[in-house]
Amino acid sequence: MTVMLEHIKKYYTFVDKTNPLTKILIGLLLFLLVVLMHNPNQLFYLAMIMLVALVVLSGIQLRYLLVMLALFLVFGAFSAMYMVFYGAGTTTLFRFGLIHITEESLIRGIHIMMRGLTLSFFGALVIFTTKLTDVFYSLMIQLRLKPKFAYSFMAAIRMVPIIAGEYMMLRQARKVRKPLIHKRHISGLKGFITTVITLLSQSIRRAYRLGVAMEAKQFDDGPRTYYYQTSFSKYDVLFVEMVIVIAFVSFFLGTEFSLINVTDAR
Amino acid sequence: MAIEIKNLRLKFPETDKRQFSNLNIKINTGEKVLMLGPSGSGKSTLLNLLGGNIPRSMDIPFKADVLDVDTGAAYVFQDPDSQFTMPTVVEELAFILENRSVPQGEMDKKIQDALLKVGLNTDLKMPINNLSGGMKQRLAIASALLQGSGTLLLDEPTSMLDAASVGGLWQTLRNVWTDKTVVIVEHRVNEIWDKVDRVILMNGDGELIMDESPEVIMEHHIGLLNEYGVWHPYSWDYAPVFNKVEPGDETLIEINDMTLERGKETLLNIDNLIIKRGEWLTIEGQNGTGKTSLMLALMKLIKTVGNIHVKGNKVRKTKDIAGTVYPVFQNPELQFITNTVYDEVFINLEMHYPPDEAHEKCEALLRRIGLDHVSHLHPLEISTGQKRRLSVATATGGVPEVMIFDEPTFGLDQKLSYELLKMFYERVEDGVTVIMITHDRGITERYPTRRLILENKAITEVRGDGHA
Repeated sequence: MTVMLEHIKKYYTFVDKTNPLTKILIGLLLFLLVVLMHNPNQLFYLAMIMLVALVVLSGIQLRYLLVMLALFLVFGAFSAMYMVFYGAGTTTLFRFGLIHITEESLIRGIHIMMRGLTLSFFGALVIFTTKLTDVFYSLMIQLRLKPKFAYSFMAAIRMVPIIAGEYMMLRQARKVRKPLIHKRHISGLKGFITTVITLLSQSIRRAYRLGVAMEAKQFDDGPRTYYYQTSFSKYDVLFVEMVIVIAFVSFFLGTEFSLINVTDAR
Repeated sequence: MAIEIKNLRLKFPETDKRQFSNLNIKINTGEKVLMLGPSGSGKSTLLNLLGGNIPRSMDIPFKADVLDVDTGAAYVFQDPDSQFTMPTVVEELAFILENRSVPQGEMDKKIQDALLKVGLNTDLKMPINNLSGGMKQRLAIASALLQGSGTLLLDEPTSMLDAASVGGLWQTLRNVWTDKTVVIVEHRVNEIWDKVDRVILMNGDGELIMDESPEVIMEHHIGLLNEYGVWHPYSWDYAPVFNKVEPGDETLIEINDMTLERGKETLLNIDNLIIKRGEWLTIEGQNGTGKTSLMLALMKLIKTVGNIHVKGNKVRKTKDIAGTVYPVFQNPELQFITNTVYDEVFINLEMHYPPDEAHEKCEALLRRIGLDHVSHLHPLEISTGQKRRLSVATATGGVPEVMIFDEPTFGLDQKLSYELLKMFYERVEDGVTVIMITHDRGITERYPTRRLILENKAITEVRGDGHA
């Protein structure tokens, strides 16, 4: 994951140096803020500023961001549609069978979509600027997570592409065998079960061998040193300040420069 | 440190028989010892005891009067994919140093030194999954070095590597092992036979039946090695000898203007390749020349440019030729789909014969390849050698006209490899075309009617010694 990112990253910013725990914590607070924000004008500005933050601070090549943005918008539109089509309201804009769009439901739908977008933008910024290993290192160093769990997780993540490759080979192998045997042996539920059993048994054996190898390398839950020194720094302060400023600016803009004449989407 | 075990008794919980009873072994400081034995002799189990994996990580009941082992011993295991914890090269090596509580400031230098010693010339941030098998094993050696142990235990470190990387890996190991106590379990021993101080031979009952210098064994006990089916430097002098083969005239496969690509790069160009009935072909070539890709392309399992005709018909999809042409992949487990060894063979036969005859043939085939005593077991439960034979049996059961094998003798001992070769020869005699991807010069220089050598993105054909 982190490695693939390096290919599409153009530059690094202070967000890359911010402790992963800070980002996760701020993410939680942002979630609360977004849920409690009922003025669509404010939320609109928040989403827009978050988008700018993502583009500027992630350092990811623009064309990848655009593809992702398109996906976010499509998913956002889908989630908004439920609210738009079937929501209650008094000012009817459009009616066709079950579908009943009112001004209230339209605004509520868009409001929900913007909530999703704001969190998606922030989430993308965090993912693009955080190495997974750093998350586990800071969990161990700052939050005293037991190394046993942290390293097991990291090892498990390493296994994912191996299992995926194995699945591809298994499909090829079956494609070759399929015409030779009765299809009841290989299709439907039976085929699915044998696929799962084969992949699982391979993974379990690999995990067991890896466990033995880790302990042979003198890994235990005792005291250890850390290659990556994650800590809290001025960058964390900067990051927190940035998000606070973003929140206040969107409050201000949403109040002073309203785009629509609705202040409560509920 | 010296290692000594006296009067070892060990029994696997699920078996009736003891793996070891009254086993004694002593290995002196700095000695290099090679352990040989047929599969099931307990070599790996013993190796796991010598470094303390038993009982630290493996719960196997045992007793011993003396157990002086090195619980800090460094291992190199056979499977490159199941001995690394972290995603990248530098993080994996740092993991070892972290375990030893080495201060962070000293890590980078130690890591650089270790990589230099094993000749692993790669970006530190390289993901381990992107390394070749040989490079992964070098990384495993580097981590063993960083463990700073005086004992190095090698559990078939080269068995998953191709012939080209094997020599280099042993060279690397020899460069770093001078002051260490080394115990090696390995099938293919050509590269190290004369580099070790002692060779220990175990039999199928877990007894040490010989403990001599390699020179003495070569001079007096070669017969014993053959009897137990373990490889030794002169193994191929005792290999089965077959009659020369006269391939038929009928063209089974014709490939025209085919181009294989990997990413955007051309991997292999084939202008014209004709494969006839009853040929025994080998495909050779360095790693990454496209041997396995050629097999997959032939089966239309990967996209390629060009035409393939099988028995005169153009092949468009895998379905068109599946059954006529049958590939056996390097990892046989992925091709199994039933719950018993018996069914695995039977489901191929039931399509061709009436039930009674299918059962008869199935039993005969299982006896033939020595799997009748495990026919009730799950295919994933049996040993590697047995799995390999089973995959060959399922291929045979489908009555194909062309069989393709990807490294069929990989990791098998001498006895099993020769047995497989006999099976292949019988298929060829019956008019089946056998194609083998193999690195083993013992095979390519003896049996094929034609050798296809992949180099410089093209195929060179050489007449084989097996041709009449």
